Amino acid sequence: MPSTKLTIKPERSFTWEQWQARRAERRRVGNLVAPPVIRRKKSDGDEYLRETYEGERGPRFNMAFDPAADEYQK
Amino acid sequence: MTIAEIEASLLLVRQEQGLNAKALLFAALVSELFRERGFEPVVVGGSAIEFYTDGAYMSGDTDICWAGFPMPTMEQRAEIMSQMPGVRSHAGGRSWIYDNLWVDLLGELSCLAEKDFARLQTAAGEVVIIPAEDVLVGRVYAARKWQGYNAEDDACGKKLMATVLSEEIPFDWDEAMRIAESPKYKCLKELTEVRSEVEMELARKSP
Repeated sequence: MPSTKLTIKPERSFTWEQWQARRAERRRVGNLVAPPVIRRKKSDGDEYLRETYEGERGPRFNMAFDPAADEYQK
Repeated sequence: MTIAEIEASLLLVRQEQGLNAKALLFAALVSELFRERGFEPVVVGGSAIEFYTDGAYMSGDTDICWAGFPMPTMEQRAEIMSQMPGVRSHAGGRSWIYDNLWVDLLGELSCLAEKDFARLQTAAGEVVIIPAEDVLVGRVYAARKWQGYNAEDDACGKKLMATVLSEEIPFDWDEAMRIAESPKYKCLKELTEVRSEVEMELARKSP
């Protein structure tokens, strides 16, 4: 499969495992300064998004580790 | 990609339950199919922010723009997307849905930190993400300057700033300040304010 021809610095290239490993920490740090779920209330494409997701702009966040999942379902 | 490879990647998308990971896997497959034809897709918008922060920000669609030329015509987009069994289009080929997940194929990428793209290698292929410097400055601009104050964009910008200040992602402050000073944004003052606010908040809440 062809790789991108765009310039990518080595430190900005991530494997799936590297990305997954830091997800919970990134979320923890972000939640120190802003609410867990901050999805926009409206934007472009709302019509078909709301048709798809029963009136919401997207599906629920539902990762098991994700504290926002419970928050979003309240 | 062969049809068997495409179907294997689509299976990975269907099996993934987390929205962020699922969207990135689908974006990776779409990206592979377009790169095969000589295009350079880049994930932008809420999905890019979600990649950097896991901030529960993205909606149900992933936005893809094209770095430089050529850009795919509408006919090429339809032809390439139609290689994936079960993918349907909406809005004249701009928006495509698979397994309850939308992808919007947009226009040319607008990006100022051209050497700071991020790349994620997934089992479904490689996905390129707009630089964090562009995303952060753009979000601060949208939150505090573009049309006055926007609380959701501000919260999003703060989450990304917290991720940057915690060194969870590579970030070039000189580049970010250059972008903030550019005629496109002119929001260096706002960027500096958000940085100070988040630094104080992190210092207050960190052990």
